[in-house]
Amino acid sequence: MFKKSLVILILWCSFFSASVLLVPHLCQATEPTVADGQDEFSEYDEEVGDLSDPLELVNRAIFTFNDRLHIWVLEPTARGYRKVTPSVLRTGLLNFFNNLLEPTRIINSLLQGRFKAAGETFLRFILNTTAGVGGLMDPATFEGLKSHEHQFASTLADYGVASGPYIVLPFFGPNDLRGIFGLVGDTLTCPLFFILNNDPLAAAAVQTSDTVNRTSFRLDEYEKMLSGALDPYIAVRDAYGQHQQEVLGE
Amino acid sequence: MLRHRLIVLIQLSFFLLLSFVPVNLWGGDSGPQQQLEVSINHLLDVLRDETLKGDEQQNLRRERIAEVVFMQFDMRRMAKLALGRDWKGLSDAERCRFTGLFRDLLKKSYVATIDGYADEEISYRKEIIKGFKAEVKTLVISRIRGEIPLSYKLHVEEGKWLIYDVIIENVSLVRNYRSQFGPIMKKKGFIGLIAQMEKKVALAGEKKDG
Repeated sequence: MFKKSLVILILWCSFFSASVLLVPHLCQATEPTVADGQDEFSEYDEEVGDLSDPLELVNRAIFTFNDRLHIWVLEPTARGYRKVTPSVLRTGLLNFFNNLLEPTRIINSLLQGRFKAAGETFLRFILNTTAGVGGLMDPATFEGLKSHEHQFASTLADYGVASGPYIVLPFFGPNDLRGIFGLVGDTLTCPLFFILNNDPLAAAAVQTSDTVNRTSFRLDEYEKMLSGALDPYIAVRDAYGQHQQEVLGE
Repeated sequence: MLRHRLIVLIQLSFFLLLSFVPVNLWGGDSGPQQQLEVSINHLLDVLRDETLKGDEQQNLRRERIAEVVFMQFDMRRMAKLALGRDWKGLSDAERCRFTGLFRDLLKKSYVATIDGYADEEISYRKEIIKGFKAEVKTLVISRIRGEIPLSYKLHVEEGKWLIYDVIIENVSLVRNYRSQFGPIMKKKGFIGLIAQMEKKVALAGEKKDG
């Protein structure tokens, strides 16, 4: 009888201590062994996406141009604008421009077969244009209607078009070959395009106002984001690549 | 005889039961999301602290933010992963120096970026635990910036869950630094990398209040 209890006790103790040994925090050294090193790094070994950059030299030049433009022209302008413009007006303008992007989103949601998203975006557009007084207000978000970022670039990706090389556009910033074709489609489906009737100067003025207004909500963010980057060009290119990979799932 | 059998049965079932108890429970550890929430709440306290608001308080405020944030970071692991396999060839002193500089770089950018957020709501979306690693997905809900996905990758060490990567709007911090460090290591070697990091940290220090 005594022997049996002893056996049980030994079994229990050995089981308990075996499980305890498996618990990581009780025996892991602060510096993992070399064998572990292999596993650790492999989590980040996978190449994210296939964004090639054959145009790196040109891209870097344009990136530097955009960077200077942002810090020396855009930020100060947005800062001054913010000082003299009541936030109600700035928010109204932001809502207005966001609303004008909805028709493009509806079309692309349909092209991608995302009917629920198309429907929700359609409702957003109707609600914000009517109850939101021409898009100046955003009751749709308040009502819980979500925004769906579907544009022509994502539709092309959905149809299997590869991204093509990384291209930095003057003013517009990081993009790729597919994205540029996407921009064309997006512009053609924007209501403003018809209103402005192909007047490039007016279009530039409108685009500039939109950008300055948007920046007024994000002052210093650009600089802060890049303040820790050793190579801002690579930091932005990598961030763009990672974002595209996640959002377009390629 | 029967009573003895009963005792054996009870003992057997007891230790069978123990085998199904999740490892966490034994140490009395809280999960990654729980520990993260505590840190984030501390952080929000600092961000909402009226006495720390304003430009004059910027340095102090950012020091406090760094304190709270970095307590939950495994900075050494982050630096190691950001450098990649070249870490293996470094001496202890070199690793220490590199980690310190990496921390300084993060302090300038990551902490400064957090400093801009105060009125935001954090929504905890998902907690995925796989053995010693975990991912906690959150959403930062800002009136003006919309919804920003923010995920944390953590690993557990002595019951404490520590962050080794932050993924902001689908962009991993570790991966982003790796993409920068790689070419620099290739071109200028470790010495060159350290030099560039020191230069950046010094530069950022000068420009801080700009």
